[in-house]
This record gives sequence, C-alpha cells and structure tokens, in this order.
Amino acid sequence: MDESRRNFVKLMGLLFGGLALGGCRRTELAPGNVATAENADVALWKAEVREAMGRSLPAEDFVPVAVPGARAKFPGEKNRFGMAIDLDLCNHCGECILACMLENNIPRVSADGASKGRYMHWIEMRGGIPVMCSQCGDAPCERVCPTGAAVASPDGPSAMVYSRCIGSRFCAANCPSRTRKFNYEDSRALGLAAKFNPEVPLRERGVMEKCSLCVQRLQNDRLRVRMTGGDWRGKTVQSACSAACPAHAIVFGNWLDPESPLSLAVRGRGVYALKSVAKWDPSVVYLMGKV
Amino acid sequence: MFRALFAIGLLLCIPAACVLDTALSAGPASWAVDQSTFWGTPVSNFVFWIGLAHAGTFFSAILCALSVRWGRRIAFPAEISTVAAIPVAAIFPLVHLGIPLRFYFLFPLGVVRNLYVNAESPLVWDFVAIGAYFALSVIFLALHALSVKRPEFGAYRKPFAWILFPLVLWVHTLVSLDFAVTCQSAWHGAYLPVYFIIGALYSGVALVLILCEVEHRRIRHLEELLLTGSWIILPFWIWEFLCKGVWNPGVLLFGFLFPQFLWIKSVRNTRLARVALAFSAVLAMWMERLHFVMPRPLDWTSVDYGWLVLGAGVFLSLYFGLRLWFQKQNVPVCTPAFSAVDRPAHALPRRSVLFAWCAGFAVTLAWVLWFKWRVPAMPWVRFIPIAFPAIAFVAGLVLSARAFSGLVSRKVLFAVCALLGIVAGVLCAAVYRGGDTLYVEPRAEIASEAVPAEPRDAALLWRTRCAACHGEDGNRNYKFVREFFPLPTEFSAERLDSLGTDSLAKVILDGRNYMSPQRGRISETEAHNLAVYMRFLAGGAK
Repeated sequence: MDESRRNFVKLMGLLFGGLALGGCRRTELAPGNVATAENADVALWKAEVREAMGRSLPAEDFVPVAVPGARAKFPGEKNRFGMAIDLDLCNHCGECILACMLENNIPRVSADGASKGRYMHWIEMRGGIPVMCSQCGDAPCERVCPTGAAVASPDGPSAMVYSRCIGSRFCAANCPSRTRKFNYEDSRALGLAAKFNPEVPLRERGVMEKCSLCVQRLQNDRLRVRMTGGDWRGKTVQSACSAACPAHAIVFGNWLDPESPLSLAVRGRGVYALKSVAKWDPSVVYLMGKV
Repeated sequence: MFRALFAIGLLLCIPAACVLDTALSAGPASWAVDQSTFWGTPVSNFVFWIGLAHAGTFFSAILCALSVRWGRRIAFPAEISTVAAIPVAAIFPLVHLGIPLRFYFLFPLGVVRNLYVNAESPLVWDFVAIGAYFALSVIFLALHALSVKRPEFGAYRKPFAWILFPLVLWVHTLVSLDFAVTCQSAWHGAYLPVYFIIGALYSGVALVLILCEVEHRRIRHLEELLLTGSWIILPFWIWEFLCKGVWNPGVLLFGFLFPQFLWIKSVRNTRLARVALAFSAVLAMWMERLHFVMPRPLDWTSVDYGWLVLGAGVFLSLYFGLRLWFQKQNVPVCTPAFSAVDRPAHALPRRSVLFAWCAGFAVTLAWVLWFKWRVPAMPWVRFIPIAFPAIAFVAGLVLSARAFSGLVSRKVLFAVCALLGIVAGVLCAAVYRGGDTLYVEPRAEIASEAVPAEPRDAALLWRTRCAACHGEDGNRNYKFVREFFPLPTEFSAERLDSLGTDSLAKVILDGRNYMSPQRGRISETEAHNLAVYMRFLAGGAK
C-alpha cells in the first residue's frame, strides 16, 4: 500500500512536470505573407534607414593600403571583384543603404530589435561614411567558421552559404570591422521581410549574413556571357549601392581587369582601407585625395 | 540534507525549463546580444561550468595519477560533480547556436554526407574535446563505483587517470583558444590558456570545498588550495589590468579579498564561513567570465538571469540525484583516506595500457589521414587540437572495454556490443541523412531574364546552367557539390529511359528536391532539348 502510494505520487509528479513543461511552450507565430516588390511599402524601409542613420555611429579609422591584386589562394583566377568608395564625392545621403536593402531583401527589425541596435543593414553609416563588409582576401571570419558557411569564393566575395550556417556567430565575433549581421528575428513571421528581388532568398532566423557584393548580379552576368561563349570579366556588372549612389561615389569592378571602371577610378588616387581589416587584404577600399 | 538539495534542484528545474524554452523559441534575440556583441551570457556560463567540471577531474584523476593520498577522500564527490557539471556546460553552447538543431554539422567527419566541417575552427575542437571528456568522465566514475564491490576495477583507475589528466588541461586550453585565436584585442594573449585553467581550477576547488562541507567533511588541504588559488589568480588579474585596462572591483573583492579571511582562525573554523568564502570565489569566477566574454556589458534580459537558475537547477538535481542513487546502491561516497579500494592487489600490466594508447594513436592517425585525403587544404598542424582528445577517447574506450569485459559473461558482452553498434549505426544514419538543407521557400517565378524565342544550343546551355553541379559530362562536379549539396543522381541510360523526356523536362523547369527550378531562365523547348542532351551524355558516358 505504502509502496503504491509512493509510486502514485511519483507518477503524478512526473505528469505534473510534463504538463508544466508543455504549458511553457510558446505558440508559434503564424508565418506572415511575404510582401513582394509590387505590394511592399518601401516607405517603411526608408523610415528605418533614416532611423538607423540617426544613431550617429562613431567613425572608423582609415589607413593607406596597396591596390588590391590577385590572391595567392586562387592562382590563375582572372577576376576579383571589389569596390572603391570615393570619400571626396560621398555626400552621406544613405541611398546606398536603401538600395542594398531592396536588392538583397534585407528585412526590417522590430521596435525591440531597433532599440537594441539589431539592424540588419549590410551598409552602415559610421561617422557618415558607408561601411560594409570589406571582402577580405584572407578573411578572419572564414577561418573560424566551423561549418564552412563563411567561405572564400574565387571571384572575390567572401561568400556566405546560408544553408550551411548554424549560427554559432564565431565569424561575427572574429570580424574586425563588425560588418556581419545576425538574423535575430524571424522577420518573415513578423512580417518585416519583403521579397523585392525574387533572385535572393530570404534568410531564416539564426543565420548570419553580410554584404555579398551583389553576387546574384555577378552570377547572372556570368551566365549570360557564358552563353555567348565569351571570356567573362564582369565588365557591365554594378552593385546595387554603386548603381544607386547619386554622387557616383561607389565604384564597382574587377581588380584584376586593368580596364574595369574600378581600376580606372583608383588610378592616381589615395587608396585607404578600414584600419581594422587593413592587414587582411580587403577588396573594398576607400579613395581620398590624390597621390 | 541531500534529499532537500535534490528537491531544491528539481524545483529550480521548473523555471529553468521555462528559461530554456524561451531561449529556444525566441532564439538569441532573447538575451543580451546585438550586432556588435555576438557572444553573450551563454558563452560565459559555458566557460564557467566547464571550469567547475575540471576541478572534479583535478581531485580525482590528477591527484590519483600523482598518488596524492588526501585526494582519495573527496575523489568520489568530485567525480560526480564533474559528471553533473559537464551536461550543464553542454546546454549553453547548444542554446547559443542560432539554429540549435544543426549542431550535428560540427561532427568532424570530414566530408561525409557532403557536409564540409572546417576542422580549423576552435568550435569543432571544443565539440570533440568536450564530448571525449564527458564520455571518459562517466566511465571513470563508473569504474570507481564498481571498484567498491569488485576491487579488480581499482587497477584501472590509475591508467585512466593518466588519460584524463592531460585531457582536462587540453579541454580548457581549447576553450581558451575559442577566444585567443580571434582578432579581438580584448581576447588576445599567450597567457590565456594558463589563465583559463587556473581560473577553472580555482572555481572548482571552491565548489569541491562546498560539496565536502555538504558531506560534513572538512579537508584543510582544500582551504589551503583555495587560498593558494586566490594568490595564483591575482597576478593574472593584475596583468589583465596592466595590459588591457580590465578593472573589475567586484571580481577582486569576491575572488581575492574575501577568501583572505581564511587566514583568520576563528573564521576558518566556522563551517558557514568556509562555505560562504568558497561561494564568494565561485561567484567571482562567474563574474570574471561574464566580463571576459562581454567586455562591453549590455542590458540583461530575464533570460540572462535565467541561466543562473538553469545552471544551479540542473547541477543540483544531477549531482544530488547521482549522490542519492549511489547511496542507495551502498557505494560509500566518502571513502576513508586509506581504503583497500584505492590500493588494488595487482596493477594492470603495462602492456595493456600501452596497447590502449597505441590503439588510440592508430585510430586517430587513420582518421587524420582520411580527413586529409578528403580535405587536402586542411593544414597538418591544425589536426593537433582534435588529435589528442581523439587519442584519449579511443584509449579510454579500449581500457574500459577490457575492464568491463571481465564483468559480464560473453553473451551479455556480445549483446551490449551489438546494441552499441546499432545505436552507433542509427546515429551515423541520422547524421548522414541530416536535416533539411534547403530553404523552405515559395519558389517565386524568376522572370528577370529574357528568354529568347529561338531555342539556344543545348550543349552550351548545359555547360552554363547545369555543369556547376552535374558536371560537364554529366558525371557530377564533385569539387563543387561535395562541400554541401547532396550529389545529384547518377546518369544512366536506363534511369533516363524510365523517366521519359517529358517528365525530365518538367523537373528541369519546376525543380525537385535539391534541383532548383529553371523556369523563367530557359524556355520549355530548351528544357526538352536539354533532356534529350542528357540522354546523349548518358549514352556517351557508357
């Protein structure tokens, strides 16, 4: 009798514990309908860009660097894409941020996320200067990624394979320029994401992302040129930020092509990089003054 | 006393479960992290708890290996505390992941199931080392418990201790490398591994002291060790202050100044004071880990505080649950200083110990060679961090297999081995199958490209659009595909014949499994031509 009572109490305890656990479960948010380019309210994105620019982040330090060239990692590679941001022309308007968001389907963040500074913008205004991933040739983030989700691509971009990412955030902890963005929120379920560009997937919660150098544009151009059988050097490609810049301060191009607009733009200019990433051979550089 | 603490632990597990659930359902957003501080309180709690676990190994394995007698008196509680603290520590990195269900991506299987594991990442080293450490700690505890009734198991303790001794130092070194290899100047320093190990042992000594007091035992050596520890850790804090300007008055107060009260005899002789001072050391190390991981503190949420409850609840219930269970099994948890248990009649032959180490070395070497063959880009030197835990793990398994083979009859042994094999097989199959690797996403029509009305050359299309995965000759592009995506199915004329051109064209246009849809990029006629071209390739491949 005593034994059975004891067992009964045990069983009830277990049941109670199980029910308590079950009761703690949160109900899943219903996935919201993802807006597309036709029905998304771009004003919301514009407002968020303004809001983020109002934070007045501290300026970065710049140091002079050599013009980026071929990488030892990929011998014989003909392309290395990158960008140069002309700080003499940049008028700090922030159009590049918005263009980048619309091109790459970057979600907005909730009010809570905004208050905690969890904006997803791949480009940030730091001291009025647009700062994005520098696409280091020898990237520290790629070394520590346990799953190879952050991986060097032969064309120049330090690539990000979303489906390999487990969200350990080691890459971000190891990024000297702090330009990697983590998807803290399930933006699709919260209705904060829109698929402006059908060619770019929406990222799920728990995945790291960053500037991809508009890899979808590069890829489309590569396929187009390949169909005609030519030698692809990506001459006509422009990143979204570069195309949107009203002052033409952002130049996109191929460092290994002497005729690319990028190689022409840096000629005779002072080439600088973020001090934090200067020693990792960045592909995205800044131009200031003449030499 | 034990029952009360066990009950408290279980009660704490209820809020702990709520915390865990909040953290898992809301993701990393639920604790204090942002877009410039990516590692938050789970990481610091992980470092703290794995540090606590080390002291258990210190008192059982290291003191046993070095034949320090007084260590035997507390070896058993210390071993239980290790086995209880490692699971607590293991919770945190799993919760920390953005997508916890993908943790199996970290298995260092080279490129099995076409998953690429970057064995250069300290995270992978951690995963392997802590897994091996936990498994061996459990076996070590089991051997100890069994040796009470079967003295022949006592012979295995010392060889086993010699496996755990370097492993425990190795594990915490790897934990420190998580930080030391990064580009963050706040985490730099060659002293980091030593600093971490000293910190771990210091907090662990304090924990074991508390656990001994719970057993109503006073061991003066522990008090001396605690005092010594406070003086050893002090130079590191001074060094951190001088080099990096790290200034944590709270840590100095709780971690250094308060333990100095142990010098005073009347305080030292008060049980409650001893416990309180040890607890202050534990608290100081916890604070120190917090500051270390997050030099720039953020506003804490309830989840950040909840980790405390989670750690305490799980540890208390595991520790005292095991403690009570051993008591029920009539295992004397506090063995006297000189018991027959620790002095086995005859030591294990040196040959079998050597064999275990050699087996570990051989298996690890085979694995390293295999990995290097699959991933030639991996530098040799980066294998070292995982190689030692792997050697220790295999050596420990071999030793324990020898130990347990004497325990049971051959039939039972066979059954156990078969069962283990089945479990291992199922696990391997699960890892091999993996989760869903593609995004569940409504495949939007991509109409951005102008598809010419005139069908283009199928061979050119194939080379442009398909060859990236399927290979120029249809024979799969291993270089690209094996790093992540499952391999496309192999071409064979029979298979293609059985599918029919129309259904192949449909797959090309609409996609299937990992095949991405091409509608909008190529026209229907072109898809049809491609299907015909595939047949040509399959015929040609024969």
